[in-house]
Amino acid sequence: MSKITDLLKEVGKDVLNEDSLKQIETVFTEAVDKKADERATIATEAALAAQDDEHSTKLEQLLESIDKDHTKKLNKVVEAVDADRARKLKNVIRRYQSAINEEATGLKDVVVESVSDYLDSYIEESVPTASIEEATKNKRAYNLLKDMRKMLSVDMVLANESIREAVQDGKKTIDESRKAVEKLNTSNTDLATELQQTKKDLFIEKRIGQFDEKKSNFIRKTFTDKDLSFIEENFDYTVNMFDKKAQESLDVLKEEAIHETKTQDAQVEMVKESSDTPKSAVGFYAQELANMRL
Amino acid sequence: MMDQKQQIRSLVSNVIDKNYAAANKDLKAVVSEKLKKRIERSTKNNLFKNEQDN
Repeated sequence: MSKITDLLKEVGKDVLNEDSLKQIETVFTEAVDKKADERATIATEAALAAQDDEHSTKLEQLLESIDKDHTKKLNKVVEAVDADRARKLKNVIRRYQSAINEEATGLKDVVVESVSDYLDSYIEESVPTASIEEATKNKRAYNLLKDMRKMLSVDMVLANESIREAVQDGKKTIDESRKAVEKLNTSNTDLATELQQTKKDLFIEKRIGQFDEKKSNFIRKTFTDKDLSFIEENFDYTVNMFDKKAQESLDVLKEEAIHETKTQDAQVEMVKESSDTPKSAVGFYAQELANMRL
Repeated sequence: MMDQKQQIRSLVSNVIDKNYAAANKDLKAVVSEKLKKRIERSTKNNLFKNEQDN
Protein backbone atom coordinates (compact mmCIF):
# COMPACT_ATOMS: atom_id res chain seq x y z
CA MET A 1 0.00 0.00 0.00
CA SER A 2 1.20 3.44 -0.93
CA LYS A 3 1.95 6.27 1.52
CA ILE A 4 -1.04 8.38 0.47
CA THR A 5 -3.31 5.44 1.22
CA ASP A 6 -1.77 4.96 4.58
CA LEU A 7 -2.20 8.61 5.37
CA LEU A 8 -5.81 8.64 4.28
CA LYS A 9 -6.46 5.51 6.31
CA GLU A 10 -4.97 7.10 9.26
CA VAL A 11 -6.82 10.43 8.79
CA GLY A 12 -10.17 9.16 7.71
CA LYS A 13 -10.39 5.70 9.32
CA ASP A 14 -13.80 6.53 10.50
CA VAL A 15 -15.04 8.43 7.46
CA LEU A 16 -13.64 6.75 4.41
CA ASN A 17 -14.18 3.23 3.41
CA GLU A 18 -11.91 1.07 1.31
CA ASP A 19 -13.44 1.99 -2.05
CA SER A 20 -13.28 5.66 -1.34
CA LEU A 21 -9.75 5.33 -0.39
CA LYS A 22 -8.93 3.45 -3.54
CA GLN A 23 -10.72 6.02 -5.64
CA ILE A 24 -8.93 8.89 -3.97
CA GLU A 25 -5.71 7.10 -4.34
CA THR A 26 -6.33 6.53 -8.01
CA VAL A 27 -7.32 10.13 -8.61
CA PHE A 28 -4.37 11.35 -6.65
CA THR A 29 -1.97 9.03 -8.42
CA GLU A 30 -3.31 10.05 -11.79
CA ALA A 31 -2.99 13.68 -10.92
CA VAL A 32 0.51 13.21 -9.69
CA ASP A 33 1.45 11.19 -12.74
CA LYS A 34 -0.05 13.77 -14.96
CA LYS A 35 1.81 16.53 -13.26
CA ALA A 36 5.00 14.55 -13.34
CA ASP A 37 4.53 13.92 -17.02
CA GLU A 38 3.93 17.60 -17.63
CA ARG A 39 6.99 18.53 -15.65
CA ALA A 40 9.07 15.94 -17.45
CA THR A 41 7.80 17.14 -20.80
CA ILE A 42 8.59 20.74 -19.93
CA ALA A 43 12.04 19.83 -18.64
CA THR A 44 12.73 17.71 -21.66
CA GLU A 45 11.59 20.44 -23.97
CA ALA A 46 13.71 22.97 -22.12
CA ALA A 47 16.69 20.68 -22.26
CA LEU A 48 16.07 20.02 -25.91
CA ALA A 49 15.72 23.73 -26.61
CA ALA A 50 18.94 24.40 -24.74
CA GLN A 51 20.62 21.61 -26.61
CA ASP A 52 19.26 22.95 -29.85
CA ASP A 53 20.57 26.39 -29.09
CA GLU A 54 23.92 25.02 -28.15
CA HIS A 55 24.10 22.85 -31.22
CA SER A 56 22.91 25.70 -33.41
CA THR A 57 25.61 27.94 -32.03
CA LYS A 58 28.20 25.26 -32.51
CA LEU A 59 26.95 24.51 -36.00
CA GLU A 60 26.99 28.18 -36.88
CA GLN A 61 30.54 28.45 -35.62
CA LEU A 62 31.45 25.32 -37.54
CA LEU A 63 29.82 26.64 -40.66
CA GLU A 64 31.54 29.96 -40.24
CA SER A 65 34.91 28.33 -39.81
CA ILE A 66 34.26 26.01 -42.78
CA ASP A 67 33.12 29.01 -44.81
CA LYS A 68 36.20 30.94 -43.83
CA ASP A 69 38.43 28.01 -44.70
CA HIS A 70 36.69 27.44 -48.00
CA THR A 71 36.77 31.12 -48.80
CA LYS A 72 40.45 31.25 -48.03
CA LYS A 73 41.11 28.18 -50.18
CA LEU A 74 38.91 29.47 -52.96
CA ASN A 75 40.65 32.81 -52.87
CA LYS A 76 43.96 31.02 -53.23
CA VAL A 77 42.59 28.93 -56.12
CA VAL A 78 41.16 32.05 -57.79
CA GLU A 79 44.46 33.86 -57.39
CA ALA A 80 46.37 30.89 -58.83
CA VAL A 81 43.93 30.52 -61.73
CA ASP A 82 44.06 34.27 -62.32
CA ALA A 83 47.85 34.25 -62.36
CA ASP A 84 47.93 31.26 -64.69
CA ARG A 85 45.36 32.74 -67.07
CA ALA A 86 47.09 36.11 -66.97
CA ARG A 87 50.41 34.48 -67.83
CA LYS A 88 48.81 32.53 -70.66
CA LEU A 89 47.02 35.60 -71.94
CA LYS A 90 50.29 37.52 -71.87
CA ASN A 91 51.87 34.75 -73.95
CA VAL A 92 48.97 34.90 -76.38
CA ILE A 93 49.30 38.69 -76.61
CA ARG A 94 53.04 38.41 -77.19
CA ARG A 95 52.52 35.75 -79.87
CA TYR A 96 49.92 37.78 -81.70
CA GLN A 97 51.95 40.96 -81.42
CA SER A 98 54.91 39.22 -83.02
CA ALA A 99 52.58 37.77 -85.64
CA ILE A 100 51.21 41.21 -86.36
CA ASN A 101 54.65 42.75 -86.50
CA GLU A 102 56.30 40.08 -88.65
CA GLU A 103 53.66 38.25 -90.66
CA ALA A 104 51.52 41.30 -91.22
CA THR A 105 54.57 43.22 -92.43
CA GLY A 106 55.37 40.42 -94.86
CA LEU A 107 51.78 40.31 -96.01
CA LYS A 108 51.79 44.06 -96.48
CA ASP A 109 54.91 43.83 -98.63
CA VAL A 110 53.32 41.07 -100.71
CA VAL A 111 50.19 43.16 -101.21
CA VAL A 112 52.26 46.18 -102.22
CA GLU A 113 54.27 44.07 -104.69
CA SER A 114 51.09 42.58 -106.14
CA VAL A 115 49.50 45.98 -106.58
CA SER A 116 52.68 47.28 -108.17
CA ASP A 117 52.83 44.32 -110.58
CA TYR A 118 49.18 44.72 -111.44
CA LEU A 119 49.67 48.41 -112.17
CA ASP A 120 52.71 47.57 -114.31
CA SER A 121 50.77 45.05 -116.36
CA TYR A 122 47.82 47.41 -116.68
CA ILE A 123 50.06 50.25 -117.87
CA GLU A 124 51.83 47.87 -120.26
CA GLU A 125 48.47 46.85 -121.67
CA SER A 126 47.12 50.40 -121.91
CA VAL A 127 50.30 52.15 -123.02
CA PRO A 128 52.70 49.62 -124.61
CA THR A 129 56.42 50.19 -124.15
CA ALA A 130 56.87 50.31 -127.92
CA SER A 131 54.50 53.27 -128.12
CA ILE A 132 56.33 55.04 -125.34
CA GLU A 133 59.66 54.41 -127.07
CA GLU A 134 58.30 55.65 -130.38
CA ALA A 135 56.86 58.79 -128.79
CA THR A 136 60.12 59.40 -126.97
CA LYS A 137 62.09 58.98 -130.17
CA ASN A 138 59.81 61.35 -132.03
CA LYS A 139 60.10 63.93 -129.30
CA ARG A 140 63.86 63.60 -129.15
CA ALA A 141 64.19 63.76 -132.92
CA TYR A 142 61.95 66.80 -132.99
CA ASN A 143 64.04 68.52 -130.34
CA LEU A 144 67.22 67.56 -132.15
CA LEU A 145 65.95 68.98 -135.41
CA LYS A 146 64.83 72.10 -133.63
CA ASP A 147 68.28 72.55 -132.15
CA MET A 148 69.92 71.89 -135.50
CA ARG A 149 67.72 74.45 -137.16
CA LYS A 150 68.56 76.95 -134.51
CA MET A 151 72.24 76.15 -134.81
CA LEU A 152 72.25 76.41 -138.59
CA SER A 153 69.95 79.43 -138.55
CA VAL A 154 67.60 77.72 -140.92
CA ASP A 155 64.06 78.93 -141.08
CA MET A 156 61.14 76.89 -142.33
CA VAL A 157 61.23 78.27 -145.87
CA LEU A 158 64.88 77.40 -146.35
CA ALA A 159 64.39 74.06 -144.72
CA ASN A 160 61.63 73.24 -147.12
CA GLU A 161 63.46 74.09 -150.33
CA SER A 162 67.17 74.76 -150.75
CA ILE A 163 68.51 73.31 -147.51
CA ARG A 164 66.58 70.12 -147.87
CA GLU A 165 68.20 69.47 -151.24
CA ALA A 166 71.60 70.43 -149.90
CA VAL A 167 71.21 68.14 -146.95
CA GLN A 168 70.05 65.31 -149.16
CA ASP A 169 72.93 65.95 -151.53
CA GLY A 170 75.34 66.03 -148.63
CA LYS A 171 73.99 62.75 -147.28
CA LYS A 172 74.30 61.18 -150.69
CA THR A 173 77.88 62.42 -151.02
CA ILE A 174 78.72 61.11 -147.56
CA ASP A 175 77.24 57.71 -148.39
CA GLU A 176 79.14 57.54 -151.67
CA SER A 177 82.36 58.62 -149.97
CA ARG A 178 81.83 56.01 -147.29
CA LYS A 179 81.39 53.30 -149.91
CA ALA A 180 84.49 54.50 -151.78
CA VAL A 181 86.49 54.47 -148.57
CA GLU A 182 85.36 50.93 -147.82
CA LYS A 183 86.34 49.85 -151.32
CA LEU A 184 89.73 51.55 -151.03
CA ASN A 185 90.30 49.98 -147.65
CA THR A 186 89.60 46.52 -149.06
CA SER A 187 91.85 47.15 -152.02
CA ASN A 188 94.56 48.51 -149.76
CA THR A 189 94.39 45.44 -147.54
CA ASP A 190 94.64 43.14 -150.55
CA LEU A 191 97.58 45.09 -151.92
CA ALA A 192 99.36 45.05 -148.58
CA THR A 193 98.92 41.28 -148.33
CA GLU A 194 100.16 40.85 -151.87
CA LEU A 195 103.16 43.10 -151.24
CA GLN A 196 104.02 41.19 -148.12
CA GLN A 197 103.87 37.90 -149.99
CA THR A 198 105.99 39.28 -152.82
CA LYS A 199 108.60 40.61 -150.43
CA LYS A 200 108.69 37.27 -148.70
CA ASP A 201 109.08 35.36 -151.96
CA LEU A 202 111.75 37.78 -153.16
CA PHE A 203 113.70 37.43 -149.95
CA ILE A 204 113.54 33.65 -150.05
CA GLU A 205 114.41 33.46 -153.73
CA LYS A 206 117.37 35.80 -153.26
CA ARG A 207 118.69 33.76 -150.38
CA ILE A 208 118.20 30.31 -151.88
CA GLY A 209 119.63 31.18 -155.30
CA GLN A 210 122.84 29.17 -154.73
CA PHE A 211 121.13 26.23 -152.89
CA ASP A 212 120.34 22.89 -154.52
CA GLU A 213 116.75 21.87 -155.27
CA LYS A 214 116.13 19.80 -152.11
CA LYS A 215 117.38 22.54 -149.87
CA SER A 216 115.37 25.17 -151.74
CA ASN A 217 112.21 23.09 -151.51
CA PHE A 218 112.78 22.53 -147.82
CA ILE A 219 113.27 26.25 -147.19
CA ARG A 220 110.16 27.14 -149.21
CA LYS A 221 108.08 24.53 -147.46
CA THR A 222 109.34 25.56 -144.05
CA PHE A 223 108.49 29.22 -144.49
CA THR A 224 105.11 28.81 -146.11
CA ASP A 225 102.52 30.88 -144.21
CA LYS A 226 105.20 32.69 -142.22
CA ASP A 227 105.61 36.46 -142.29
CA LEU A 228 108.72 38.25 -143.52
CA SER A 229 110.10 39.26 -140.14
CA PHE A 230 109.90 35.66 -138.96
CA ILE A 231 111.67 34.44 -142.08
CA GLU A 232 114.41 37.07 -141.77
CA GLU A 233 114.96 36.16 -138.17
CA ASN A 234 115.04 32.40 -138.64
CA PHE A 235 116.41 31.88 -142.15
CA ASP A 236 120.06 31.31 -141.23
CA TYR A 237 119.15 29.09 -138.37
CA THR A 238 116.96 26.92 -140.60
CA VAL A 239 119.67 26.63 -143.26
CA ASN A 240 122.23 25.64 -140.62
CA MET A 241 119.89 23.06 -139.18
CA PHE A 242 119.29 21.60 -142.64
CA ASP A 243 123.03 21.44 -143.36
CA LYS A 244 123.75 19.82 -140.03
CA LYS A 245 121.08 17.18 -140.49
CA ALA A 246 122.18 16.55 -144.06
CA GLN A 247 125.73 16.07 -142.87
CA GLU A 248 124.61 13.69 -140.17
CA SER A 249 122.57 11.67 -142.63
CA LEU A 250 125.54 11.53 -145.00
CA ASP A 251 127.79 10.26 -142.23
CA VAL A 252 125.30 7.59 -141.28
CA LEU A 253 125.04 6.44 -144.87
CA LYS A 254 128.78 6.31 -145.22
CA GLU A 255 129.12 4.17 -142.14
CA GLU A 256 126.36 1.87 -143.29
CA ALA A 257 128.03 1.51 -146.69
CA ILE A 258 131.32 0.61 -145.08
CA HIS A 259 129.98 -1.94 -142.58
CA GLU A 260 127.20 -3.58 -144.56
CA THR A 261 128.51 -4.80 -147.88
CA LYS A 262 125.84 -7.46 -148.41
CA THR A 263 122.91 -5.68 -149.84
CA GLN A 264 120.76 -8.89 -149.93
CA ASP A 265 120.66 -9.05 -146.16
CA ALA A 266 120.13 -5.36 -145.80
CA GLN A 267 117.22 -4.57 -143.69
CA VAL A 268 115.00 -1.90 -144.96
CA GLU A 269 114.16 0.46 -142.21
CA MET A 270 110.59 1.54 -142.11
CA VAL A 271 110.25 5.27 -142.12
CA LYS A 272 107.35 6.28 -140.07
CA GLU A 273 105.74 9.56 -140.87
CA SER A 274 104.52 11.43 -137.95
CA SER A 275 101.49 13.62 -138.29
CA ASP A 276 102.11 15.32 -135.01
CA THR A 277 102.48 19.00 -135.44
CA PRO A 278 105.50 20.32 -133.53
CA LYS A 279 104.75 23.16 -131.26
CA SER A 280 108.02 25.11 -131.30
CA ALA A 281 109.93 26.49 -134.29
CA VAL A 282 112.97 24.28 -133.56
CA GLY A 283 110.76 21.22 -133.37
CA PHE A 284 109.20 22.17 -136.65
CA TYR A 285 112.59 22.37 -138.41
CA ALA A 286 113.69 19.09 -136.90
CA GLN A 287 110.49 17.47 -138.08
CA GLU A 288 110.94 18.78 -141.60
CA LEU A 289 114.55 17.59 -141.69
CA ALA A 290 113.51 14.16 -140.47
CA ASN A 291 110.87 13.96 -143.18
CA MET A 292 113.43 14.87 -145.86
CA ARG A 293 116.06 12.48 -144.61
CA LEU A 294 118.85 12.21 -147.16
CA MET B 1 58.70 62.99 -102.35
CA MET B 2 57.38 59.65 -101.30
CA ASP B 3 58.88 56.38 -102.42
CA GLN B 4 56.75 54.44 -104.90
CA LYS B 5 56.21 51.58 -102.45
CA GLN B 6 55.25 54.04 -99.77
CA GLN B 7 52.74 55.57 -102.17
CA ILE B 8 51.23 52.15 -102.91
CA ARG B 9 51.02 51.48 -99.15
CA SER B 10 49.24 54.77 -98.69
CA LEU B 11 46.91 53.91 -101.59
CA VAL B 12 45.97 50.55 -100.06
CA SER B 13 45.52 52.12 -96.65
CA ASN B 14 43.26 54.84 -98.05
CA VAL B 15 41.18 52.30 -99.97
CA ILE B 16 40.73 50.26 -96.78
CA ASP B 17 39.71 53.40 -94.87
CA LYS B 18 37.30 54.28 -97.70
CA ASN B 19 39.17 57.55 -98.16
CA TYR B 20 38.73 57.43 -101.90
CA ALA B 21 39.80 60.99 -102.68
CA ALA B 22 43.23 60.44 -101.15
CA ALA B 23 43.39 56.96 -102.72
CA ASN B 24 42.74 58.49 -106.15
CA LYS B 25 45.52 61.00 -105.58
CA ASP B 26 47.92 58.23 -104.58
CA LEU B 27 46.95 56.09 -107.57
CA LYS B 28 47.56 58.99 -109.94
CA ALA B 29 50.95 59.63 -108.37
CA VAL B 30 51.95 55.95 -108.62
CA VAL B 31 50.86 55.62 -112.27
CA SER B 32 52.55 58.85 -113.26
CA GLU B 33 55.73 57.75 -111.48
CA LYS B 34 55.70 54.42 -113.33
CA LEU B 35 55.13 56.12 -116.68
CA LYS B 36 57.96 58.56 -115.98
CA LYS B 37 60.27 55.66 -115.26
CA ARG B 38 59.34 53.99 -118.53
CA ILE B 39 59.94 57.19 -120.44
CA GLU B 40 63.29 57.68 -118.72
CA ARG B 41 64.26 54.12 -119.63
CA SER B 42 63.34 54.61 -123.28
CA THR B 43 65.15 57.96 -123.35
CA LYS B 44 68.38 56.19 -122.53
CA ASN B 45 68.19 54.20 -125.79
CA ASN B 46 70.19 55.46 -128.73
CA LEU B 47 68.06 57.62 -130.99
CA PHE B 48 69.73 56.38 -134.22
CA LYS B 49 70.17 52.79 -133.13
CA ASN B 50 68.14 51.26 -135.97
CA GLU B 51 69.88 53.32 -138.65
CA GLN B 52 73.27 52.23 -137.38
CA ASP B 53 72.21 48.58 -137.35
CA ASN B 54 71.04 48.87 -140.94
